[in-house]
Amino acid sequence: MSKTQLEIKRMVRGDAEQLLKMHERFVQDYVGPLERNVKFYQRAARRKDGLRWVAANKKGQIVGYILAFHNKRRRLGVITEIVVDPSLDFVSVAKVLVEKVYSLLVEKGAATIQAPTTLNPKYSQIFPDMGFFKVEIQDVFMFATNNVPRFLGEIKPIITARLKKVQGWNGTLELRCREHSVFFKKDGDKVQLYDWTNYDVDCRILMDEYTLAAVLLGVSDVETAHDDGKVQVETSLSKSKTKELLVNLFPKRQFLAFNFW
Amino acid sequence: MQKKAPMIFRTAEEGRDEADLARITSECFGPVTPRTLRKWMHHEKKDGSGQDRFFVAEVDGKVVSSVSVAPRKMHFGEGVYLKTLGILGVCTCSEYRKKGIATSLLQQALAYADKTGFSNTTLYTVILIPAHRVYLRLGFQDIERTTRYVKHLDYDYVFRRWVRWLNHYLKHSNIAQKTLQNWNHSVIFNLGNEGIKAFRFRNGRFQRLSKPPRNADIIINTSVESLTHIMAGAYEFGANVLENAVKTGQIQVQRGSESDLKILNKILVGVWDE
Repeated sequence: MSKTQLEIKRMVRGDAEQLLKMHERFVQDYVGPLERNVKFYQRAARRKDGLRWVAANKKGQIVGYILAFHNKRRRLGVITEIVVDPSLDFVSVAKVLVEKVYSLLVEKGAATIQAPTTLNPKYSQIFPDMGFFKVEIQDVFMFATNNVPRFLGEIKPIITARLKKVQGWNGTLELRCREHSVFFKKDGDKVQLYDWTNYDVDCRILMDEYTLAAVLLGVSDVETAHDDGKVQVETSLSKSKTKELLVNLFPKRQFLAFNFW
Repeated sequence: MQKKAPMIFRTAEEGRDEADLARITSECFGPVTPRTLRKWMHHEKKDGSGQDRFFVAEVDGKVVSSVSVAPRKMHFGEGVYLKTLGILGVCTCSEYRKKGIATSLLQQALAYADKTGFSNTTLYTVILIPAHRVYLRLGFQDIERTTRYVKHLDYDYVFRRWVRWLNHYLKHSNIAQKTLQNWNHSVIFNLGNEGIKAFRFRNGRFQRLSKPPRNADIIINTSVESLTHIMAGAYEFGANVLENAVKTGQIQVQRGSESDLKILNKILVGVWDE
C-alpha cells in the first residue's frame, strides 16, 4: 500500500473497537501478546502527548496504528507498539506511521528514540533504514508450568482448533506430559475431547512440560524437537505423516510481547 | 550456637510496608519513592486482570525481600488467551542476599499461583544477575530475549543523563558503594565522530567531565553504537561484557588495568552482584 493511499490521523476514542478487532487479528500470527480490551484503546486515545496515530485506507477503515510516548525529563522517545492489519504488508503501513511519530519525537526534543520488541522480525526492515541500530539487551522473558494437568486442560481448545485443520488424518490422539494426558478423537472436521479412554490410541505424543511450553511459545521447532528425541511419537503412521501431524499441531509461531510487566 | 534471626513471610500491607518496599526496590532497580510504591499496591489493572499482590520477607521486624505477582492473560495461539501469573519486582536487600530468602518467597508465590488456579507463571528478568539462575532452578525456562532499536539524536545529553542516573543508583545500592570504595578514577571514551566523553568517580560521586583529563586512568576507543551495546548488557558477551567486547574488537583499551576494567564493566552494565 503506497503512502498516497493512506491517511494518517490522530487516534480518537471512537476508534477503540476497530483497533481492538485489528489487534486481535494481528496477534493470531504471534504468541505472547497480552489480552486487551476496548478501555485500553480508549485510554490510549485520551493521552494528550499526540503520539498515538492510526493509518486509514481510502474507505476510512483503520489499517494500522502506532503507540509511542515521550519522557520529557529523560528526553526519551519510545515506540511501544505497531500493529498493522495482517492482510496488508506490515512494513509499508508501519513505515508511514513510524516516520510520523519519529518527526514528532524529534520536534519534542527527544535525545534518544527506542523501539523495543520481543520480537517482531519485521522491525529489521523499518528501523535500520532510518539510522537506528539494533541492541540485544539483557532482558529475557521466562515461563514456567506449575501445574501440568491444569495446563494440559487449558491448551485443549488450541489443540482442538489445530486438529480440526489437519487434512487426511482421523483417529484418536493422546498428548501426554509427565504422566498426565489429554485425549482427542478426530472424525472429519469434528473433534471430541476425552478426559480418559480405553480406546486404542492411534497417535500418542509424549513430551515434558519444558518442551511443550517451548513448542507452544515458538521457541523450539517441533520437527527438531522430534529429531532430538524431546518429542516422542508412538504411532503406526509413516514418518512423513507423523511430521506433518506434529507441524500442524505445533506450528512455528513468533513470540511477540508488547507489554512488559 | 548462634540463634537464627526470626523470619516471617507475609503479604505486604498498605500503610505499613511502603517505605521498606521503596528502600529495597530502590536498591535493586533504581530510585522509587514510597508514594510510587503505594500507587503500585493500589494499582488495579484497568484491563480487569486483577490486583497486584506483594509478598514480603521480614527479618527482625524489617522487610528485607519482596516479590509481587500480577494476573495476566497471554495469547497462546488460535485466539486463545490463557491465564498466567506474572511475577515482578523480585528484590532483596544486599546484606540478606544468598540466604535463599527470595527463593522461599518465590516458592510462596508459585504456591499462591497453584492455589488460585494458575497453571503457569511468567516473568521478565535480566540474564546477567544471580536471580536468573534462581528462576531456572525453580523450573522457569528462557523464552525470548528483548531486542531494541535505538537512535541517539543528542548523545551528549544521553551521556550526561547516564552519569546522573549512576549517582541516583549509587545512593541506594550498598553493593555498588562497597565496590567503588577507594576507586577514584577517571575514564575517557573516545567515540570517533561523537567526540570525547569523560567522567570520573571521586568522593563517592560520579562526575561528568566537560574537558577530558590529561592523565585519565582508563582510555577506551569505541563508537556510540558499541558503547550503547555494552551498556545494554549485550547478551552475546556474557557476564564480562567489556572483556568480550575487547576480544571482538568492538572496543580498544588504550589504557587501563585489568582490575579497573572489571569495575568499569560493572559501572557500564549496571550489574553489581558477583
